[in-house]
Amino acid sequence: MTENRNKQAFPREMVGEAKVRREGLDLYSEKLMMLAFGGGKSGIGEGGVKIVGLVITEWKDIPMELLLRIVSLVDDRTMIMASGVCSGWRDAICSGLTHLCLSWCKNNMNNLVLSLAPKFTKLQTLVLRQDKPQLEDNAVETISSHCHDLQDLDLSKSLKLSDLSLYALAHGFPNLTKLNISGCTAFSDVSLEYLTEFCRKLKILNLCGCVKGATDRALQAIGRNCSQLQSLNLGWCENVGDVGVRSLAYGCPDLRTLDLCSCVCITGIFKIGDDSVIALANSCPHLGSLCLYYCRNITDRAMYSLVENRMKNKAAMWKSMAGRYGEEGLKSLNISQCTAITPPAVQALCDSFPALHTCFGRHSLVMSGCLNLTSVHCACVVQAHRTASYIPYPAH
Amino acid sequence: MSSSTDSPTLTTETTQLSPQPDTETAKPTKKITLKSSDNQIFEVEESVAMEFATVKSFFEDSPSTDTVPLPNVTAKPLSQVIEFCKEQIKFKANPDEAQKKKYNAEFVTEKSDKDLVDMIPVANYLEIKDLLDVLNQAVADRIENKSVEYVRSFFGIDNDFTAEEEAALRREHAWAYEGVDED
Repeated sequence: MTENRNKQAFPREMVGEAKVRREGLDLYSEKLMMLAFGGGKSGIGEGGVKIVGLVITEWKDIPMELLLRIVSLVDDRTMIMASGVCSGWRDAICSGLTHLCLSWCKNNMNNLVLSLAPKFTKLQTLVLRQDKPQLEDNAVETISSHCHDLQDLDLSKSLKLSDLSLYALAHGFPNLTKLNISGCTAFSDVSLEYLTEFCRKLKILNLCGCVKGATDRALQAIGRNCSQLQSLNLGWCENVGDVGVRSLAYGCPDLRTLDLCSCVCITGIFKIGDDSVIALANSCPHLGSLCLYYCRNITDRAMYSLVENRMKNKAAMWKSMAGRYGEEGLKSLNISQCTAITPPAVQALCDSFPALHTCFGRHSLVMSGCLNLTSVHCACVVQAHRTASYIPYPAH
Repeated sequence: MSSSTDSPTLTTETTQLSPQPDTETAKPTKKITLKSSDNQIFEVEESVAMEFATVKSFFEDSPSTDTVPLPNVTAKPLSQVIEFCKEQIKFKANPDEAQKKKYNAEFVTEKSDKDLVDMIPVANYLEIKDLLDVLNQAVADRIENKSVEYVRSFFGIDNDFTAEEEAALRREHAWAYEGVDED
């Protein structure tokens, strides 16, 4: 264990000195040198005839980098086994492992997390997605008190977790940039609001199916605290409405992806309407992907506001970032089941966002279930149609 | 062919007669001597030795030497490493990804566990990236989903945990491997 620590601490400046004293080197310091070099180029003497630095002879003393390269090629289960081979391997893996996924764990994920989190303290990414809910609050609390480097956490389908977990996350991970709590139905909007006050660097947040947590109150908190947010999934969050989405749009100008799929109350009330889309169009110039599946209150007004803002931004962007104009703007839009929208509005949208395609294989404008929109086509189809039959396009 | 070197005036005519590859092979290639820790001498072509990044930079530092001592690299893994690098040079001259992949796969398949385990430190030390990648993958494949005891004996490592630590690891292991087939 001591050797392992020395391996990192052994200063490179010592190399010259060590070379001079080479004759007198005992095996221990040779080993140290070898570890310090990791068999690298620094082992070669300048102008000397001897290649200093030795090959590892004992596998328990294998350089951390080499061991990590090997264990990065095995699955996470085998990696956990490898950390139990000897103390040298344990220390190397525990101090070098940054990415761990335990989603394969069918029954004992909670125990495993309680046991592993205190050891794997350098984790940056931790995936704990479950098919069968296992994870409990004490596991999340253990992670948050040990793995302070964590940036990316996936807790999806943790049905057993309560608000205590979100409070633990808030206190443990000020640097969290990516959080997936989709399907965690027990979290409340109060705890989610609390989380946003601490995890202000969030860029990607998945709240899909967090029926209790994702409310207008939570969205207002996100808009207030998480100005760097780029991606938010609110699918099936039936308590989300225009008020929340407006606050989100104004507070998160960098938003690129928003999923509002099936945000509809069980009572059949559609709370997402044109105001949401208009706010997004006005405030989020980088919005590239928007899903409005089954948001049946959406009308042509929303479509035209996207078109108008596109025109406005076009002029501004030509000035500020010349060639990058083409990269901005909607690349993906889902308006399936939005039956109130009419063909001219969608065609106008399609014409002003050339990255939206209706053609086969590139379906980035999805309109299934909108039977009245079948006449809308992207430019490719128009082109192909013209060259093939010379019949003018009939849409307008 | 030899006339090209004897009488340079005839170059234009002779180059037409003798294509480039012939002159290449006629050139005497420089040999480099590698000395293993158990004092075995390996004479390899310069191009093969230059596959070893460690040896290459050694020569850049001291170009006049022709014998490179490799302390703690024993003869057996060294000979296998040389064998691998010789083949890689052929693939460099005539790139054939499919053949190369096939050769690399066969190279590790026919090796014993011990051969692989002995070659990795050598490849790491000599900085032969391609070989190291091939060996790492081969070892990873052989230990995937094996028991701790299997892996310890695979690498010749002694268990240095206390009874208490070992018991904790056993519990972890049982949780991780529940419902998975034995070795």
